Amino acid sequence: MKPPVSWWWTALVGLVTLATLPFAGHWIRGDDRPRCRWDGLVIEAAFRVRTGDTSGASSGFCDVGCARSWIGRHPSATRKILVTDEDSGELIDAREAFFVRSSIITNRVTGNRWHVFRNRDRAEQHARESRGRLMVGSDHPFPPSEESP
Amino acid sequence: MIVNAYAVLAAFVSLLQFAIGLLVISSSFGRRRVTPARAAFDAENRPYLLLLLSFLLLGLNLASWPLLYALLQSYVPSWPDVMCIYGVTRIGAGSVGSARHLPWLLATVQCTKPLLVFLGGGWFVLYLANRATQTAPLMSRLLTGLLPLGLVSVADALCVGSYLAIPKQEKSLSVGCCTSAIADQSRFLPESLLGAGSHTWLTVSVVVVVGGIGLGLLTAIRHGYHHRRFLTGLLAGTLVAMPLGGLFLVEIASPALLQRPHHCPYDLVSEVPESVLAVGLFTLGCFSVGWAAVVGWLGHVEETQSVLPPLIGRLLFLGLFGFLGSMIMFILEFFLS
Repeated sequence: MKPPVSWWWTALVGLVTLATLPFAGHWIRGDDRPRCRWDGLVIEAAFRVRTGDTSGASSGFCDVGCARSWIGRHPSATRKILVTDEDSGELIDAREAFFVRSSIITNRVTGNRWHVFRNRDRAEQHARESRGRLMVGSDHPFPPSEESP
Repeated sequence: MIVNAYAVLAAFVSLLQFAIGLLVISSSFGRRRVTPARAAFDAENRPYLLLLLSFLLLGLNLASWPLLYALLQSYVPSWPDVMCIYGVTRIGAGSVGSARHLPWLLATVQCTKPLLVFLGGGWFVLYLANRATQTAPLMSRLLTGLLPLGLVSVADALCVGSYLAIPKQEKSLSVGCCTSAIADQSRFLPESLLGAGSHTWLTVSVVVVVGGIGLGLLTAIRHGYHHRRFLTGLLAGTLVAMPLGGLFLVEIASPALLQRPHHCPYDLVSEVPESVLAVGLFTLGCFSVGWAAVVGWLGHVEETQSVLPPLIGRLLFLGLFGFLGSMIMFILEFFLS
């Protein structure tokens, strides 16, 4: 049985309608806020982490935990890691930062308990006040082997 | 047991599926045990009740498929580590309590739902072929076909009911050990099934297979090739396309559309909802070819010889529309991502 011409026209209209849906979806979801490369959450400026890879591209993450998960999957691609100092909100090199893992959760979804400070005294103070621990040496979230020069 | 609106609705639908499935099974068996005195009466009346029950069962089975995913999505906020439906499907893995049954129950249900829709659709197209005849020569096959439909419906309803009833509190042997608990969180992240090196051949395979099926369907529709050998070839292609399509969705489409390294098709439900329609169209394409093959094989009697070609033609046309629609949507989604 050969289908009548009207079927082909109906199918064509249907396909054109379907083809508009991806555009409509992207337009509705249009959101310029930067999102985490690992879990898609909107990145909060106070806890953001940025990594640069060998191709020159950079990736943003909502916290240290997400960045660690990403780097764990792409260890050779990561060249530079920038973390945010919680006090000033400025991005600093992860090698110069002090990391504290404390009882204070910064994000309920990810359960992040990593806190970043530029100043060692502030990091130790936060650790004391929030039942945390300064993470150095093997506890450092981004040990030197993960940060290729 | 987590009680919310979706859980109550799913429990109600499962209860109906179970009750009607049992009725269909018993009626399907009962028609073989009628006494001669009642035979004429039963032959006249019993099929109508059975057919009405079957339509209701078909509707319930169809509705319960999206309802399952709506239920699982509603469970996501119940655990702090779970971020999508995939995490919900892993709850209970490694547990020593009754929750250890949750993963396999969900895996079973995720297989029985599409199976029910396919069986129901196959039964329905057979019904359409039978209805177009004068003497209903396919009635016996229709009534026999209700038996597997009823059995799978009952099994599916039991699995969903058990899943809903089992407390979703994990009892792990490693409770109390922070290290184990943290390491165990990786189970909530879906991994790649094939590895990074497989993307090129997988994409090429999907394009070749789906393109081949599309051309085959177009040829069958335009030249009226509805004989069983051609349908078998199309069905074989579809059987290859289904697992390939699933792999493509997990390995390539999900990470690309989500723009993150998650091989999780479940995330698409909440984040790129229109892509679920593309997946649905692909499934429709596969199922339509299957239904055309079912009606071509099981509906082939002398009286249906004039009925089958237009019916098979419509199903193949629907299949072509499903495959084309799915491909167009995926290509555009990739382009926009």
